[in-house]
Amino acid sequence: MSEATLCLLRLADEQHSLEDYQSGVPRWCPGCGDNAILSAVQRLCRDEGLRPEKTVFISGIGCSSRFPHYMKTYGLHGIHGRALPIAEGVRMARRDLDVFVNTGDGDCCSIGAAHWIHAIRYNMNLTVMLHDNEIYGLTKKQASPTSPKGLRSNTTPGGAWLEALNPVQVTLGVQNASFVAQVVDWIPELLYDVLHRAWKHRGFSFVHIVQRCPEWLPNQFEPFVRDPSKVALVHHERGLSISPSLAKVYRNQIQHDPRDIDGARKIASQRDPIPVGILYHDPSVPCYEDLRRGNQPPHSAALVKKGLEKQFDKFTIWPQTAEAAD
Amino acid sequence: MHGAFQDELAFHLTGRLRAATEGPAPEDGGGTLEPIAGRGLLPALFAPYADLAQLRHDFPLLLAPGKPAESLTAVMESALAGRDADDAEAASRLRHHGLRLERALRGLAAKKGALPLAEAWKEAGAELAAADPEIGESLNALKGAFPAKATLVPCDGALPIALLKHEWHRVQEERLAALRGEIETLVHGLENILAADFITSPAGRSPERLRATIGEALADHFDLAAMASLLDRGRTVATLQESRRSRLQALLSVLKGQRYAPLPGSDVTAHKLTFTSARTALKAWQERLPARAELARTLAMARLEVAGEYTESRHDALFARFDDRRASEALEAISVPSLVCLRGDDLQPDEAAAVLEAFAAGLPFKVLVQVDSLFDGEARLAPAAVLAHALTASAFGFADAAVLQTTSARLLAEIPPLQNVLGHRGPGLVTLFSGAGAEHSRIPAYLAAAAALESRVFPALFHDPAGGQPTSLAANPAADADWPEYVLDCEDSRQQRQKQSLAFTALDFLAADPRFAEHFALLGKGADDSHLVPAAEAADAAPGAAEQRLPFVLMADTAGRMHKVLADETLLAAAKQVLRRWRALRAQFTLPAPVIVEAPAPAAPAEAPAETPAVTAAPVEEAATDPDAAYIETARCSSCGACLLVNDKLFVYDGNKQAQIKDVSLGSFRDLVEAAESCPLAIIHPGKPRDPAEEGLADLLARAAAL
Ligand SMILES: Cc1ncc(C[n+]2csc(CCOP(=O)(O)OP(=O)(O)O)c2C)c(N)n1
Ligand code: SF4
Ligand SMILES: [Mg+2]
Repeated sequence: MSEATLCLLRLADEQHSLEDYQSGVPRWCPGCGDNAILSAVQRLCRDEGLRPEKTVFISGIGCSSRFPHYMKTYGLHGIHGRALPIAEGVRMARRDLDVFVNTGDGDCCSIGAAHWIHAIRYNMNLTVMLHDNEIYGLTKKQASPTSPKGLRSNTTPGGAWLEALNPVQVTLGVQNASFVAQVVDWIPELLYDVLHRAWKHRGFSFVHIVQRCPEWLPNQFEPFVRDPSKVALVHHERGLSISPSLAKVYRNQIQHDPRDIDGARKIASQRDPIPVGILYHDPSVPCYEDLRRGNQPPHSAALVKKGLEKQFDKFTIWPQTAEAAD
Repeated sequence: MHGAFQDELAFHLTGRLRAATEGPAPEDGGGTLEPIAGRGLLPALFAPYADLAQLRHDFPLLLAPGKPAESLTAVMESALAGRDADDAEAASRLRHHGLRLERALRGLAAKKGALPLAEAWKEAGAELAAADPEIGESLNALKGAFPAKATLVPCDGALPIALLKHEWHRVQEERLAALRGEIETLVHGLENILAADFITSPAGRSPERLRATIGEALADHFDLAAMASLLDRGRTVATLQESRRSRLQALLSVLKGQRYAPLPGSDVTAHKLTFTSARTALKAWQERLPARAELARTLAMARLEVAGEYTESRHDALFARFDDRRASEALEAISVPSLVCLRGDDLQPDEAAAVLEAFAAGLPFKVLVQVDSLFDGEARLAPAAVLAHALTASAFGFADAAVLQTTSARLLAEIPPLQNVLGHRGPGLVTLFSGAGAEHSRIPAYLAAAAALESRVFPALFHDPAGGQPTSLAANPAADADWPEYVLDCEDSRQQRQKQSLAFTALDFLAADPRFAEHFALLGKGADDSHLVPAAEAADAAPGAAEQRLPFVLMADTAGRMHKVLADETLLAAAKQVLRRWRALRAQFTLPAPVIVEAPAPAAPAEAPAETPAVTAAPVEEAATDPDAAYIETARCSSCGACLLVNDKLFVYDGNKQAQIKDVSLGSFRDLVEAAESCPLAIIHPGKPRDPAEEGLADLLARAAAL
């Protein structure tokens, strides 16, 4: 401590409100589940006092991937399917930041599937929200890998041919999975609690969010929303505890120890009622950034500049060369 | 190791760094002590507030004549509140522009000192508009919400007197308006008596007088002489006795000539009631004593006269004996206090003596003592600070004096107590530290003033003899502890978030004063800090313990890096003295023990739902609501906004962006039913209709039943 090891964050301790994290007016449809996810995340930021300048949201492409626009923090609306590799780069260079990822079922499970598999295995400290509306929303209703068999869409006018992919089961099947949860957008308390626990977990926290799309699939989750018995709360003293008010509405409950991966896989295979809660949690899995970088200090600005210059120099057309070419 | 410690101990005891002639630094310890001067170090506790212009806080203030002082931020917030609720984008643009203006105004005030708001607005507005032409429209929209003739006052050395005078004028205006009102009524009454007498006198009924009353245009149509003689013949009213007339005239001349509350339209100049010297104020008070006595006597007599109760046989003798002192007391009942503002060097011992004399006599003197520097160059209390402390202590000796001690930084919060002191009938003392001394020029006065309060160097207290409350130390942060503690957010060398808990001690205050730079030494890289303890611990240590426990404070450089800085014995002694004074103050005005209300036993939880072993939250109690009232299960709302689309006055979001019913009277039963139908979660319950005459009720009731 006698060395200059501590550095002050130059901000007065401020009391934030949700509005302090809100940027612009969301362009999502009224009733879109993305709105609920946004407010849960803003609540998390406010309650944990996350500093906007130390928080970053990274997404790919899709309705759900517009998320970073609506957070008054740092953010990057990336390219289709590439939210995870971008987030990994940010995490590698800036371990002081809280990094969140918002991705859609198309973005993550279709074009971005390869990145997804490896991101799970890297287990970098990221909080990942998969907004799964079982459709490509932004491009107006094409089937995605999570669309149920038989779903009629612009690309499957006769009904989808294949059994839907189950993102939770996939994640649980990859080495180094460390935090896997499932939740639905229409139970705000649970959504908040799960995201909170995901954020607290150091490692790759994967939260599969069943998300309503009233525009293209208005009836997809209707029965689940209306009937609380079509949702099952997964709880355990090591996982989530359920508030009495929630327990009163949602009578279907499953007690499950989140250390039990076989149990988790079994629960994940259920589709009706939808199991919601923390399915798997293993805090002992090492993070890739720790394995790779040990405790070295991060890149200095000078080092980054030097590296960039070196790369740019490869493409520089030197004046002499240019003249010679004339 | 040992050598390094010896070096540190030697510095602590002597305040001198190792001279080059003493040979190289000890090899074993590796670390060296270095001077802190010129490194731009400030106590780490100050660091979060380094750029006050960026932070919304109490300052600058807006002082508008006749209105209570308000912070610029508060006025801006109320200007922005409730704008364009239906157009969120326009509202957010307006807010954005408003906040930019606020920041620019704050910057201007900090740079230029107090200035008229109109001027600052023009300058800031022009600058902002040059960069963003759209902003002009927003600024015009906001302008109406700001007081027209306000002054923008930053927290600097001129603030306390400006604010005190502002508040003083408000209190005094009210007081003088009451006095002026009474005098006007009496004048009117007295003049009426004289006028009535004149009308019934021969002169009042003369043809010339009648002509003047009727007016030239019609005068020729009447035989005024005949009318005058007719009136004179019928005269029944006795004329005023000469003695009474002259008494009334004398009373009138006193009332019209008095200089406390000059009457509207008169050319009498008001007495000066604000002073920059207590001696002058006292002298003026004494010089005005005869005039005050005369006014008091006049008021008493005039009241009797107007009521027709003045009897010469009884009252003449009484009022002749009405001596100055008693008259003066009578006038005090109307109370016209004087304000004395003493700043820094104005406060000489003879001034303090004059203040005490006034207080001892119970005169309604309101005295502001503004201290700009608390310590002299030797870390002893500066003379003005000594006198300020002495005055506060003695003021308690005069039971009827109201006392407020505070610092500039808290002034806005202290306006209600300040009003009490100014409005109080007897003497009032305000001692205040401004933070504007030259030694604090590196930091804003606001910060120095706040630090003085935090570090107990200048504690806050309030005593109101009329209020019936015990003397209060409540305005001090963590008033029941030696020092307040704060947790700083830091990051370590690996950029991980850390919490650093720090006490705000007098040593931290002293460390911000560059005059004492030589009393601090920076621990070099790799130095031995095993004998160092936080200042709070060292200040509390028994004498002699210094050998093993040297005090350090945490300071931050301009890049925000924190360093341990060792303090010498002289400053530690000063800090210990501050602590002793603070403890004595607490002992003197023990805080009332908190009243502990026994919490009611929690109601037994409602029938526990089956198989829920992991319940941790407290059982929710169902509110006993009206079964017919509409409600939303707010906790289940998923923020979809469907109900707000139906009626965004009736349905609003709470702080968690979940819908609630704001007030059922803001919408119809139809709204409730339609919202309930549109809610995907079916958590809106429309209840029973409130208006039996609502159109289409039968249909709506059927739809509600189907929900
Ligand atoms: C490389 C590339 N391929 C295709 C697209 C077209 N595209 C845009 S969004 C999208 C699918 C988005 O679906 P999802 O990730 O589920 O997001 P949602 O809109 O449903 O939230 C596609 C295929 C693209 N933008 N970039
Ligand atoms: S189309 Fe679907 S996913 Fe996109 S905003 Fe609308 S409801 Fe949400
Ligand atoms: Mg999708």
